[in-house]
This record gives sequence, structure tokens and C-alpha cells, in this order.
Amino acid sequence: MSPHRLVGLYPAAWRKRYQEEFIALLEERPVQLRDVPDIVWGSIDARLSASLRSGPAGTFERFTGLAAISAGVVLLGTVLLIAFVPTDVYLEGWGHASAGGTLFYPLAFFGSLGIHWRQARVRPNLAWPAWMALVLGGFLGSSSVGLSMWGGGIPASDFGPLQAIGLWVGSAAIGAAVLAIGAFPRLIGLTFIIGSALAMIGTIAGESFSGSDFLAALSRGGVAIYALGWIATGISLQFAGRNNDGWAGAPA
Amino acid sequence: MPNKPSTTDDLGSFTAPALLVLASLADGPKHGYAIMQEAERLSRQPLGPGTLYAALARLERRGLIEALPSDDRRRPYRLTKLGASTLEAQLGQMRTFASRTLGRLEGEAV
Repeated sequence: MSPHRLVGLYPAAWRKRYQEEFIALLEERPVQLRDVPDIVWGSIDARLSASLRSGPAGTFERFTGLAAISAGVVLLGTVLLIAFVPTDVYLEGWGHASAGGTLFYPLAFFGSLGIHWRQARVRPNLAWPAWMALVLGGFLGSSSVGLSMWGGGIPASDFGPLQAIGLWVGSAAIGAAVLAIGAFPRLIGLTFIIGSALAMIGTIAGESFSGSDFLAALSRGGVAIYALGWIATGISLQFAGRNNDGWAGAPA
Repeated sequence: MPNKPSTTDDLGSFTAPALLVLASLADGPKHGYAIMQEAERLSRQPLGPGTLYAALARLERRGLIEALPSDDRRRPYRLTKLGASTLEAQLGQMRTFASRTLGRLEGEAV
């Protein structure tokens, strides 16, 4: 196994500090079979010790984390309600979605403050633009969240282009900021991007193929993934974040 | 004012490798591969690269060793004052343990 592949097992902050010298060591002393489990164990230890060192989060992060978890639970609960509670009344389904979307936005807004708080401590120069994108995208996207949950068959007149792109652009902005700044696990950024993309595809395609069960399930599944992203964000905010100074610095 | 010796008790399963790393650096700075060779010579046991760097990271975080500037990709490390006093304290404990245990054995043999 190549040294570069093995060092890829370690967390990013560890690699930033030790990668070069670790690879130099593995090149100087070729990797033996018995080294592989030793390196795997070392990478697990690096991940565990980084988590253990993170310690408890501050009050603000815990509070905003609870808001993010609540936002995700409301969104997930609403989409499950719409998907599994039979309703023959067109407006009843829309009413659930609308109520869920309305409750979701303020909760997600408070959750976003926690995201910003965390990101500003890690990459201050990127945190403000990221938060602006997050809030603007969240505002644009939140109005279409309800439509996505309802899924398929939405009259074109109710679905403006601003709402259509809002959900994905806003959520993708959140996801991209999470991935770029690295203050949260990458999986959270991916759930924001992928979940909202699925929701948008299912919703827009549902306009053309009204009544499609598959497209309805696709859009609801997308929103469910997106909701899980908020829950995971909230859980992450309950613990102090990893940052790029997690490993001791090294002289140049 | 001399640094108070630290403890290696909180190094978990990496206590023994950490002591070996400290011992390897006792006679001067060394980079990773040289530490590994010296540790293997001292203990007659192989020291894996994953274990070595887990120990190096812990020792550096506790201020027992420090990395030195290098133009090379291989980065040398050296003992800090705290690391040297900690190693000395640990070896002193080992010597006490060894002499007491040997004393018991000799007493039993009589």
C-alpha cells in the first residue's frame, strides 16, 4: 500500500501537521505488512484523541445547536407526516408543509448563528461571506421547502423560479461553506448539498409529471436528508469543534 | 525555576512508546526514522510508524518534545526541559522499582 494512501486515513488537521514527515519516514523505511494495522490503529487514535480534546461546547453553541436539531426534527416530522399519514384533501397536505416550513425557518436561522459562530472561530475571513450566503440562501430556499415536501404536481404558477433555485442555491451555499471552512464534519456539508439537490430535482420534475409517486418520494427523501443534515449540525454544535490548531504547531 | 516533571500516566496505551521516544532523544535531536531505529535498538522490539507518530503527537502536545526547523521533509525533534526532567523522573521511578524488586528476590534467595 502506498504511503500517500495510508496517510489519507488520518484526519485533515493531523495531516496538515505531520503528513510530510510521516510520508518521508515511510519512504525511507518501506512499509511492511505488519505496519498496516499499526498505521490504521494510529489513524483511529488520531481521530479519537482529536474528538476527546474537543471537550464541551459553550452555552451559545449548545443553544443554537438545540435550535438546529429542532429545525431538523420539525422538517423530518413534517415530511414523514405528509408521506405516511393518508390525506385525500389537497389543501390539507399543503397546510402541513406550509406550517412545517414556517416553523423550520426561524429555528434554522438560530441554528445558522451557531454555524457562523463555529466557523468564525476557525476561518474568520471566510465566515462572514459564508454566513451571508447561508442566510440569503436559507431565506430564498425556505419558501420552497414546503413545496418540495409536498412533492410533485405543484401548479407551475405556484412555483416561481426564485423558489425553485432558492432551495438548492441556499442549501448548497450552506453545504459549500461547511465543506470549505471545515469546522463541521464533511458529511454534514454533503447532506445539505445532496439532500436539497434531490428535493429540487424531484419537485421541478414533478411539475412535468404530476402525480408521479417516484418523484414525490425523491423530493421528500431529499428534504429528509436535508433535515438530517440540520440534526447532525445541531449534535455537532453540542460539542466544541475541531479546529486547524488541534495539533501542535511546527516551526517552518 | 526548573520545570516541574510531567507525568506520562495519561498517555494511555502509548505510555511505553512515549518513554522510548523520550529515551531515544536523550542524547540529542533526531528525526522520525532515527527515533524509530534508536527505540528498536533500546527495546529490541519493533516500533511501528503509526505508534511512533501517536507518541510523538502526544509528547509534543504536552510540551515534552519540540520540533526543530528543517529544510528537509524529515523534521527533527528534541527534548524540552520539561521532557528531560520527566524522563529523568520516570527513570528514577524505574530504578527504585528495579532495586526494590531485586532486593526482594535477593532476600528470598537467601
